Amino acid sequence: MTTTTDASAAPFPMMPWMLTPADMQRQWEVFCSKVTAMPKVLEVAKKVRVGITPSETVFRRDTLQLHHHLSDNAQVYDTPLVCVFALINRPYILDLKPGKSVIAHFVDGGFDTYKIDWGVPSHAQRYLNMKDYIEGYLGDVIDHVRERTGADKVNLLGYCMGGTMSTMFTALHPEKIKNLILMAAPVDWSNKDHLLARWTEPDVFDVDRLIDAYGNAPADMLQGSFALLKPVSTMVEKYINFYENMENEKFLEDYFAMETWLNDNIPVAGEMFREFVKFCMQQNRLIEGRLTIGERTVDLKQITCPVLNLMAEHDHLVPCGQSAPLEGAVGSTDYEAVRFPAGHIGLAVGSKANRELWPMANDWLAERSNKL
Amino acid sequence: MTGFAGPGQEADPISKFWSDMMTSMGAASMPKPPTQEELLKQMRRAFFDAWAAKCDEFMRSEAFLAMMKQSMESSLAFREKTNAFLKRSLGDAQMPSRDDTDSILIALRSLQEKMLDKLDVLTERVAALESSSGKASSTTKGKKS
Repeated sequence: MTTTTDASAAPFPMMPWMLTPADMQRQWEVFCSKVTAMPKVLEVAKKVRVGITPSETVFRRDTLQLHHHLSDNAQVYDTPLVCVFALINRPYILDLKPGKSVIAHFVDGGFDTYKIDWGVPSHAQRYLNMKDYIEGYLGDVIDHVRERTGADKVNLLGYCMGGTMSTMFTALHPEKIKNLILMAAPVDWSNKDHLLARWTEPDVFDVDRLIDAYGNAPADMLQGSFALLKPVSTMVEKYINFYENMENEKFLEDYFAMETWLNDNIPVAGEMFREFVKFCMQQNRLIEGRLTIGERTVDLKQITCPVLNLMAEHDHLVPCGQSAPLEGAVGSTDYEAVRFPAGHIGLAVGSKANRELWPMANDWLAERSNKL
Repeated sequence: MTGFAGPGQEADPISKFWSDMMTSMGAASMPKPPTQEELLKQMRRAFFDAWAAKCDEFMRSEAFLAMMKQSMESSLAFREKTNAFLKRSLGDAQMPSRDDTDSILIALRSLQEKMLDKLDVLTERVAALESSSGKASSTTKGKKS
């Protein structure tokens, strides 16, 4: 008796995820193409540029610099716009690259736009506290812009912790602010479901001991903590995406611009960090009206100017629940909240945000501004 | 007359509508099976999502929080010991340590605060004097006129 054997049949049952010899051959070819793409990758990495809108420095105070963004377009609106970024990381995320720039939307829209770069605090600045930043630096910047432009009031745009600081300033000096735009700005830390809120609870995180030992809050610690919030995404998926898109020049440009920003961490002045963590994150004093800066209590009801509160639905650092309660806390009758389907960074640099959200924010501000 | 088109003939609109509708309905009820590559990507997505969910769950657990606290305490204890050692060594070598510069900074800040407070008081007094002298001069002018 003779038996016939099908040569193409596998010796064991093939499952959908098992690779056939043909698949292996194809994978090898893909790998070879990735290796040959390496010089191109290095070339793109070398020429990466961030912060695209031309600017000049118009004010300096210690490490702080105020950049005035320049444009060929004529200025249309009389009230200047001041952008305030967080003390963590660099502010050029607001002006990352062409097509991914919040600043460019406002500059092109005819607003006289300024951006604060807080600079890198040295050890000598470890004692700078909330009063120094809000009443000192931010107050000096606002006064300088008012004096320089002749405007009574300025528009304020705050991102993340910069948004919280802008909210505090507006509550303390409502007479100086015309419109307030907030991006992923936390104001209420009462909900402890959020991972970062859990990690910063007083029984887990001893901020006093950290600042006493280190002086300033170390940049590496902050970066590591933020990366650990989404470990699979930041430590695994990101690199797989990179491998899969190594031949795509557009992807590489975006990737290296983002990586440049993500790894450009700076320490936070010790006392400021201590006060922010203790008074805001742990004791939730801001929304409860118990926060004092200097001798003045921050009363959010004093904010009566128009407010646009932009929140990111998929934000893992500042969930919407930390920003949304502002609505009931401020005294403004003109209040608009937008929950946009993006992450914390995507709110500023995401393609969809730059296509839909920022033109809308520009229109919102234009409607509430006077033309020259 | 309606009917299927023969070779070289165009289908009439009703037949075309009927056959197109049936084709798209059939396609809708039987989606195209994923290719092996798509299947692998779907599996990978599900795998990473499950991994991320488990990580998140673990990072909220008491065990992880205790571990995090412990590692931070160890790191801070090491830092504090290093600071103390450097302070002692630099002191023995008659060199300023960071604590010395810190105490100078604190003294400077307290001096700065005192000066600023004094300046605030002076500003208020000058403003009060200016307003009272303004009132006085306007009263004098009023009397003269």
